Amino acid sequence: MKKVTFPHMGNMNIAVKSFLYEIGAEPIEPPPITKRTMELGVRHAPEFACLPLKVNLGNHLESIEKGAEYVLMAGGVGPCRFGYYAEVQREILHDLKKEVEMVTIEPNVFSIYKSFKYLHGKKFSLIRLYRILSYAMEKIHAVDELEKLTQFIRPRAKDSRVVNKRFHQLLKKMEDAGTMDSIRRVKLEGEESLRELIDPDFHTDEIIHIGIVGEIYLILEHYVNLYIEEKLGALGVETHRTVFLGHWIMDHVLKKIDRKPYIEAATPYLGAMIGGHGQETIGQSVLYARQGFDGIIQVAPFTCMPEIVAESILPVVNEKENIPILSLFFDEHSGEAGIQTRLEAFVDLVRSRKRKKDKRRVILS
Amino acid sequence: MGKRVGIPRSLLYYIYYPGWKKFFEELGAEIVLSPPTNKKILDLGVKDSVDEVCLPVKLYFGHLEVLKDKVDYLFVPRVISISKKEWICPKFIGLPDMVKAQLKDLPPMISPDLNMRKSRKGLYNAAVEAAEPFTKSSIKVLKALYLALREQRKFKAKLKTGLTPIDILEKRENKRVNEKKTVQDSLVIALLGHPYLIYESFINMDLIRRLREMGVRLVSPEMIEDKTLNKNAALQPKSLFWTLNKKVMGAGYYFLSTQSVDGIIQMAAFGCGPDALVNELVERRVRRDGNIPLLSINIDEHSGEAGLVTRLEAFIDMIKLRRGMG
Repeated sequence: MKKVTFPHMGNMNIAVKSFLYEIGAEPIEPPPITKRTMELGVRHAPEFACLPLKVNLGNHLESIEKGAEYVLMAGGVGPCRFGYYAEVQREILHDLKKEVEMVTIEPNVFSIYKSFKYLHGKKFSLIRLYRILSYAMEKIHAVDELEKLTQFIRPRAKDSRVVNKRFHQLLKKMEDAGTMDSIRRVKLEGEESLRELIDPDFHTDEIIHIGIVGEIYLILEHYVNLYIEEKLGALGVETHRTVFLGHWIMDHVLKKIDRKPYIEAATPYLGAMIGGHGQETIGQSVLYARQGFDGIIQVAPFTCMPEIVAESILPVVNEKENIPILSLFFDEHSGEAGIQTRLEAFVDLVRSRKRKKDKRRVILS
Repeated sequence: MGKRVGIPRSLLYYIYYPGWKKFFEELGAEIVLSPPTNKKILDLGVKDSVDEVCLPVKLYFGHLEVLKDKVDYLFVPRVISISKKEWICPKFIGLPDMVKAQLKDLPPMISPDLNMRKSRKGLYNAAVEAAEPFTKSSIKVLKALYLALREQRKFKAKLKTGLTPIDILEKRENKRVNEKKTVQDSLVIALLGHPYLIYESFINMDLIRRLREMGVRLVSPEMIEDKTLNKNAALQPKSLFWTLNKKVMGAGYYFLSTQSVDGIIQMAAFGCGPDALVNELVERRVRRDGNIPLLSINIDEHSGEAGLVTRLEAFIDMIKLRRGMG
């Protein structure tokens, strides 16, 4: 069996591990991201590369220590830098004398089949691949659904830390779920156990709604974004986002998402697709503003090209759509205390703005 | 007098100015070019842009600031792709939108979408869009485009003779020809980087002049045939999808495989995304090979002249010693 590793991105490990196991490879899961992972990545990656490349590289290096022989990476066609990560990482690992092989999956069905056939070692039927993919997708969607519910429960619970803890227990259970049925069961039971945490005494009007937009890795990988969603939840904020792993696969690989709504909303502000999530960031911000959200937070890695374009344009969205927006760019030096202060200040601002608005609404009615 | 079209002396100016100039003049416009970059332009650009954006885009904003009150139109094209299956970079694609969002009191902009990712027909569409304020006649557009492309070809051919874009654009050709006599047995240094960085003499502290004064003969990606560049860029298993960086990378690999230079100076702009990855690839191959000295220079708005000059002199001295010329 080929020993295959892959980088972390949020809860992606759960599905990828099951998937690799099913196609007959031995998954080598990178250890959870820690300070050491970041340090390893930062030491060997180009200084001005974006943060995900560095953390990925740290993951690879730690997995190689665990015996990985193959590194599974996603590719891309640009213009975002992610599409060239694997090339750069291969050269770095080569110079570090690490004997691993990079297997890159380009975002098309043919390349997916080719890479997996290669990792499997022998021929295997498309039907079997389809079955394994459906199983992995089921898991991805189930995890996403549970996380969405967690976003809803956090501000409504007595102690949001308990919610986070329960969510992590559910992830563990989901890891072990080996069949479609057990995935569904874990999901249903999980939803129930999360709902139990809702505090019966809380007031819905006190909750503020913030949309999270930006670059997918920084949004999904909570260690790297310094747990902003958990922090916001503790401040009584219900966070919303469209960026989830399942959504990304449906959109970019299976092409099943209708992009028209956000493209139409973005066009007056940003008239072209600029790679990564740039146009989505603008479009989704506009949509959130029009849906009556209280604020928007943009999350991205330092030097991220598409998100810098979006950041330059967001002040206009803020003005014309009348919604507060906070841009947070993360690098290896970002500190928890700084982020906490900025989030608290932003939430204060959003909350006082919402109170004024609500008062006006009461007087008018 | 025709309508005045402002072109910033920045970014793609170094690659396409002769063609753009011909195109608009053919349509009866008068071209206003911003002055060479100076401290004021840099400061205006830095003030106008978000911190994270790369230095070349900051400079572009500065050039627009000094142009905007002197012209009827600003030419800010949205260059999406100039080559099949390739891109420039996200910031070029979002450029007109960033400009609109960040700069105040702008004259109308001529911002055609140039997208040749699927086919070369994108160039014609862009020309029609760019010509809109001047003519609706497609014959006139075609003629202007034809003449512009011819001008562009002449410019490209001249580059292959060892002249830099600024030698040609700023008419310093004669001076260079005189220099040629003395370069028989001088050092050959490859200068790698985006044209808007290696030829931007304000921001790179007049690097080219300094090198020439040290008796160095310069070669840069613009002086090499596209075919050669593409062939060498193909050394990287996955084709690079940024056209400008692909040229730089191809040039780097070409100099490396032919061992035709005494040293390589590689420049990156602070905040440039593609540079951060591609320069790393070139640097790693050069170091693995171990034969050609390489100097990497990262340029930002705070770069100090003294530091750069010292590094440059040390680098050239070191190469001279290696060659027994010290």
